[in-house]
Amino acid sequence: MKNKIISLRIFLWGLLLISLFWFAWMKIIPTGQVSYQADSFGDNFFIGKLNPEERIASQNIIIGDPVYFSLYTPRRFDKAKIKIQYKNEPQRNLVELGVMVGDKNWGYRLEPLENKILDNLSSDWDKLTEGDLTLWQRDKKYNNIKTFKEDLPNREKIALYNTKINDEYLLEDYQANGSIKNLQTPIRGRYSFYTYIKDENLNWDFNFVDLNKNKNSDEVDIDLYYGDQLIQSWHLEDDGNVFDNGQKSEERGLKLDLANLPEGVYKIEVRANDDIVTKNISTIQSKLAFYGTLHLAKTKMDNKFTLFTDAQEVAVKTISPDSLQKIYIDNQVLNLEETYKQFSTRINSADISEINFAKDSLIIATDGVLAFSRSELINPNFKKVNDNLNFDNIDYILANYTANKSLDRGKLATIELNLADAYREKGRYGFIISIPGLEPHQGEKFEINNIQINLSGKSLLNKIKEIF
Amino acid sequence: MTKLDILKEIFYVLSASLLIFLIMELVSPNIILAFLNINLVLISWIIIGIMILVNNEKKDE
Repeated sequence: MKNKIISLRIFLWGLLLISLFWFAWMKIIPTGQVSYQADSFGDNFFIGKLNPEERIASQNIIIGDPVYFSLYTPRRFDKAKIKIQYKNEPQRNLVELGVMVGDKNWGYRLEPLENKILDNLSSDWDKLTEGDLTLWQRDKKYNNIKTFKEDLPNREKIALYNTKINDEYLLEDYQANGSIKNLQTPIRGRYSFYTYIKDENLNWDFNFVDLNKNKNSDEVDIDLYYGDQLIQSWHLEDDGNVFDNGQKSEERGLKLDLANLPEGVYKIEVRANDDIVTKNISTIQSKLAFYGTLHLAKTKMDNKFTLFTDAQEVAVKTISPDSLQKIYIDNQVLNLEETYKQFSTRINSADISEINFAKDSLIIATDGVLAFSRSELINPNFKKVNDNLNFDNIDYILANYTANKSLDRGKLATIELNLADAYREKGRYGFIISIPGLEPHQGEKFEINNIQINLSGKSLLNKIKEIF
Repeated sequence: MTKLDILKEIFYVLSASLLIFLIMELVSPNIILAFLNINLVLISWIIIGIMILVNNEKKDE
């Protein structure tokens, strides 16, 4: 009888030991490879629920853009291969999936799940595929992509998708004018802009005020980029008031002054939270074109102003009831009639458009650049293949894109994401599914039937080799 | 080997499991919870505990 008890004891304690070993194995993942899959988001601990709820019809059906989900991993990984089975009804042109990258300066790096514009490109276009890249030519001129990149046609004729071309953007007739310019429209939070330098110093003066409306240290960081390369950073500490008492700080300045920079386009990113208002910018540079989102702060008076843009789509939002207004974009009217709701319109003009605002306190986003004067506009980016692209002027499309496989239950898309610089908090990576134009209550939906995420990273052996 | 002996052996292992799992969770969050709901172990532990008490009473009678 005693033998039986000992056998049972060995069995039970052995079971516990095996399970402890298994938990430890699944935590460390010594092979560096692991796979998680779900038929429904939120079904298991690893693949989180889709959110926000107002853009979701059920666990797996997306009705608004964009939606987010998270992935728990026991450790960091370098790559994710994601397979998604989905139904895109009734066929939105663009579907992209991305991972959150960066730390303070976070954003999403997107990869295409589906691009119907490229899938449906007329067979009249010549198609040339080399590796991951495909070049479509309206009239065949180039025999390979290398020649195309070395001898680029007029950049206005080129559209890109999910790839880059390292082409230096130079303005032939640019001359430094040296006079000091003041931008006195206050800007709230973070923003980014392009400027141009030729035979002149880089010279910018920023004045900031800290509103102290939120409980946080409100620091300002300014990064200067040439192409994608970070040249220099500047930092302004918090004003010393980390409370939410609403006591405005004194105006504090940050000066950027660099000499002997090569000619070209420079990118300046001002990173700050919404407590920081840039009261004034003065510069000797002639070009100042904002890209991404521009949050114009509230001033006490009615502040009429004009912006110029090369964008094909403009979206505006306000959180202030005083700022509801009619916005005039060339001959079009965009009626901003509700707070906390984004209103957007497609611009019919292929040239530069003039946007007239009657009041400030607006968050403005475009797919191009914005400037306070027509002459300040500069956009070094190639056109992107999206819903707003005007194909009349395009003769060449270069894309890193592979069409998806069709299945009985919809389509299967496979993408690879680099996770090496992805943002991970409390063991979770953040993902976004972007379907531009998909709005709740329109009756359109995007249904995901299955998601499988294969992660790969350093094995335990490689990590040990790195240490010793 | 009686039913009570078996229950006692399971109880000891479940007690140790609970303690070890809790310590492991404190040291490395989600190491267990990602795969196993510790509440289930706790419920099993309570049920086994009650069964031991009931069986002990029967034995005493």
